[in-house]
Amino acid sequence: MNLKISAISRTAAVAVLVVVIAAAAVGGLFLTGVLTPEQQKRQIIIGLSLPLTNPVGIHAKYAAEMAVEEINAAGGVTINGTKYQLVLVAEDTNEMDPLIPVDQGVTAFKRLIEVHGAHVIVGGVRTDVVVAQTQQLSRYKIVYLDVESNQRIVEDLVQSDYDNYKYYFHFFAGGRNSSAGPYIAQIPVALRNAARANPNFPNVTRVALVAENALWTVGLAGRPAGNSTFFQRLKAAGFDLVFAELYPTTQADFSSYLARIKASGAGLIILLFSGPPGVAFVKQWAAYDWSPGKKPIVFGPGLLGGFSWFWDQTGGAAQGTFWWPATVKVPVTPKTVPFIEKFTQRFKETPNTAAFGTYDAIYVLKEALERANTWKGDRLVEAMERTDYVGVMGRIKFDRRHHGLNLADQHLYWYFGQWQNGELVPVWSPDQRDTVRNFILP
Amino acid sequence: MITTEAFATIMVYGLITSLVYALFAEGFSLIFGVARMIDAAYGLWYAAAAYMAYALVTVYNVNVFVTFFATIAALFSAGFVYYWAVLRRIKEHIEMIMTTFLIALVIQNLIVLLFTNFPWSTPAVLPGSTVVFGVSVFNQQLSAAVAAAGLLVLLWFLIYRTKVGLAIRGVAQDLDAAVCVGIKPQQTMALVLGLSTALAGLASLLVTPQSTITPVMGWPMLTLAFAIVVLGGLGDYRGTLIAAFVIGYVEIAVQNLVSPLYAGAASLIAVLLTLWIRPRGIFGKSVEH
Repeated sequence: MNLKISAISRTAAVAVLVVVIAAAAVGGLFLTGVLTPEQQKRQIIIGLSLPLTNPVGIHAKYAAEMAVEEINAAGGVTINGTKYQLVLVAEDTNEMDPLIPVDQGVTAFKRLIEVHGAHVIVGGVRTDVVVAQTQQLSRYKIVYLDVESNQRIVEDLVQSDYDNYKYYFHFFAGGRNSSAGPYIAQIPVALRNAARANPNFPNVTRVALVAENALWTVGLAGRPAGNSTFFQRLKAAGFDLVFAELYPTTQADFSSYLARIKASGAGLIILLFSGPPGVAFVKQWAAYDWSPGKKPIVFGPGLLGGFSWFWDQTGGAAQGTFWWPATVKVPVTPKTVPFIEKFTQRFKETPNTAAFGTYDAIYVLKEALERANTWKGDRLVEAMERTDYVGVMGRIKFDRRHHGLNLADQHLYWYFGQWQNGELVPVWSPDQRDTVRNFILP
Repeated sequence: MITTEAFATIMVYGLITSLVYALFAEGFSLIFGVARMIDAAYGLWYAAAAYMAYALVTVYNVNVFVTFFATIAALFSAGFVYYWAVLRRIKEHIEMIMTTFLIALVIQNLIVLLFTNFPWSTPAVLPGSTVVFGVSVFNQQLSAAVAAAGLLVLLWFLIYRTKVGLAIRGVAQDLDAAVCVGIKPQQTMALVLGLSTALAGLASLLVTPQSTITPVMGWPMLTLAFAIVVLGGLGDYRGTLIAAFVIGYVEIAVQNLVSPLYAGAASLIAVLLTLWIRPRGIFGKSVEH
């Protein structure tokens, strides 16, 4: 009997000791802050879902850091009278690599929420990744600020399936009211006008289309290539589409394309690219043996084309090519040039479009958080829908029906920039739609 | 109906493409033929050479010719060490594929770590272009084709007309018999790995200055080498050469006559059709030996 009591006592003593140690450990963890719930630390966590080894993602992250530092230095975000600090966490989606499956982007998105406890997601570059990530929004009820995908698919879904997609806000062009299509359609007209005054121009009424085989080119290029409203309108305006081909995202040699373009007599190439093959195309176009006076002009929506690296990447072969979007140094708003200068001074590189979008997105978010007095998705959406903000890229206005940019007013995405001796020079914008200015032949 | 211009384009570009493909695939074929190994990291040596050259030329401003020889020497050494340190210890095929695949991923991630995955490019050594049979050809490509042809002849000479080549063929044909006549198989295999890796690097250095470099550029090349070697008959020099020409011309013809989007698929269909008719590949007989 004594033995039994003694055994029970020992067991009880060990159990009590274990409980005490465990309680002390847990208490210690709380006291040291390791297990303190994030909201008790008065932080709002912004999850960056970006390709972090690619300059698109790197610049977006730099811009996010700049905005967050500025906001926190100015006192942070005030919610219900309490100051909160913004905190960044990031996951690498690697989405600028075309061979990486969409799943990696979705996993990064989920990790930001489930592992890092993000309250808002900022990111989005590759269209298919953004489409897949946004399918998860209603499950998590989390606001998603898309800073770089060039598509209107999710904006359309906000219209058709509001309850599931209302959390999505688009800070890049290519949306319902921010398509560059009308601008791109006007460029051949402006070039034709310039050609009338300059006999050295190639025949720009003969147009070639070379487009990346990616989801974002479906609307503009059409499938098969050239079968789109855009090209129907171009034909109606007196232009001939004499060559139209897509290229796979792994294409390295464009000799065959260039031979066929030369044979077609095209004087204007519309190049739709966002990845490495566009760089190869421009290098090869520059090296190709064109007949005198017949070297086609190259322009297009080429994401990398408007980046400051493009000149070095092509070894100067980009001379004379012109691109949209182009982060040209134009005072679109009073904030634009100071932002470019501050970013360039700090990171020694000219900010790309992802930097502009991310910087403005963080400030828009800050204002929305203060209007909503919460980071909870549904109420934050309502506050985001009351956005009317003048940022570094232009005016940003959202409402219940419009979760994307509107390029009606002057905007960074108005400008086409031409590479001239290492500088991106603005040569066209819709306020002077019929002419190209300061333009040089390649 | 094919126009004369299109025909000339296919013939000229087909020849250039095929020669470079052959140079690249011969290395992969050699590894299988001699060491009986499938090196899943082979495409990544192609990428590694491009990045090394990029770093030397663009970052450190090293002369292009010094860069060329330094890169090839580095690739040869890497292949040699790769065999002694890793491949020599592996006995099973599945283990071999898994290990070399993992090494490929390590190389790729090292490249991303050092250079990011942004597309970079080295300047063309021979800029501009030349008209050949009415077709404009980049000087860089033209020199790549001439160099590839010369290197393929040198490789043939090495394998079929030298004592080193005799040792390589001896190990490929019968390992035990090769040992009996005094050939050191481990050294021979290490030499073959060095040689093959250098061939991948050579192909890369000849072609990439006209294009861009990315960390994943090696994977399509690995698929290509695999398709060529399977089509030609595993480990056969002549078969690989002919298969490279079949695939090179099919790709260029489809690019010019149908659509560039189907060029890769068309070459793989050509492989499937050939294997359906002749499962051992064009010169598959040598594998039985």
